[in-house]
Amino acid sequence: MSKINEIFDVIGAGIKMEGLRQKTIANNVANLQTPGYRRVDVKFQDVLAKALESDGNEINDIDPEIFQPGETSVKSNGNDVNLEMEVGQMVKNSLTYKTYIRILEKKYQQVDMAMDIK
Amino acid sequence: MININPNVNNSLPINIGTGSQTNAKPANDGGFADTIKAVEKQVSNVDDIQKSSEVSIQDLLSGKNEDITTVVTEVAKADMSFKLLVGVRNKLIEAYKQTMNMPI
Amino acid sequence: MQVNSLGPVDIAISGMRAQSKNIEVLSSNVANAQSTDDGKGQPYRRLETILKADSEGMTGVTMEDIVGDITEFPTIYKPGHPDADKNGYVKMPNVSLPVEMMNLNIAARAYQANTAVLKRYQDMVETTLELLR
Repeated sequence: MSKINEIFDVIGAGIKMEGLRQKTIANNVANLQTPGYRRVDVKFQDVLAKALESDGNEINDIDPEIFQPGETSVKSNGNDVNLEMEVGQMVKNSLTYKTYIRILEKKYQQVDMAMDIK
Repeated sequence: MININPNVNNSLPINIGTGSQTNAKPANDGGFADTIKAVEKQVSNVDDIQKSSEVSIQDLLSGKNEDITTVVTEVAKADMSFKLLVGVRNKLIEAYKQTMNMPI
Repeated sequence: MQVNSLGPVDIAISGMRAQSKNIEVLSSNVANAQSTDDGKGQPYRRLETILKADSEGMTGVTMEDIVGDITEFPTIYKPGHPDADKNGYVKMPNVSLPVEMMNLNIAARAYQANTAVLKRYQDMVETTLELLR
C-alpha cells in the first residue's frame, strides 16, 4: 500500500531525513575541536529522485546515505569542521524542515476537511 | 517566480456558478442533477490542481526545484480551490437534506 | 532562471566565513605588532586578506589569498636589542595598531551585516510558510 508516490509518505520520508541531518550537524558541531575529525552529511535528494523515477518502489527502501563530503579545507589538526558552515546548514535544514511540516499539516487538514460531512 | 495576477478566475474552477443558475430556473431541464454534474467537473479540476501541486512538492523533496516560494504558493492555491469545492459540497448536501425534509 | 530559496543562506554564510578568516588574520597582526623576528631574521610582516567573488553573477565570497604588506619596516633606536643592526637600530613590524583596530571594526561590522541578512532571510521564508497556516 505504501507506494512511493503517496505524497504523505514522501513528505514523511523528507521529515525523517531532515531529522537525521540535524543529528549529523549536531555531531559535527560537537566535534568542532576533535583532531582528525571530518564532517559528515546526509545524501537524500538523489536517492529520493532515483526512487521516484523507478516507479513502484516502497518508501521504506529509501535510506538516507551518510557520507563525508571532504570539501572543506582541513585545519592543522586534521579537522575540517567550520562553525559558520554548520550554522548555515542548520538554518537551511530548519527552513526545509518547517516547509515539509507545514505542507504535511496542510495535507492532513484537507483530508480532515473532506471527511467532515455535516 | 510568483504569479501575482490578481485574477484568480483563471485558476479557480468556479464553473459551479452556471450550475446553480440552472438550478434556480425551474423552467430549465436538469435542475439538481445538472448541478451535480457541474460539481463533478469541479472535482476533477481540483484534483488536477492538487496533483500538480504534489508534483511540485516531490520536485522540492528530490532537489529538482529548490524554490520554496513557488511550491508553497502552489500548495496554497490548491488548498484554496479545495476549500471552495468542500464548501460547495457542504452546501449541496445541505440543500439536498432541506429538500428531503420538506413537508408535503 | 532557476531560483534557489536557500541560495541567500549560502551566500551570507560565505560572507561570514570570509570575515571570520579576516579577523583571524587581523588578530595575528595585532598579536605580532612587536615581533621583531619571524624566525628568518626579518620582523613580522603585516598580513592582508584578499577576497574575491566565487564567479560572475550572484555568488558567495571566498578568500583568495593572504598576502604580506610590502611597505617598509619602521626602525627604532634600541642598541643592545638582539635584533639590532650595527648602528643600534631595530626593524619593527609594519603593523600599525590604530589601523588594525579600524580594520577589526570593519570586519566585525561586515560579519554582523551578513548575520543580519541571514536572520532576515530566515524570517522571510517563515513568512512565506505562513501562507500554509
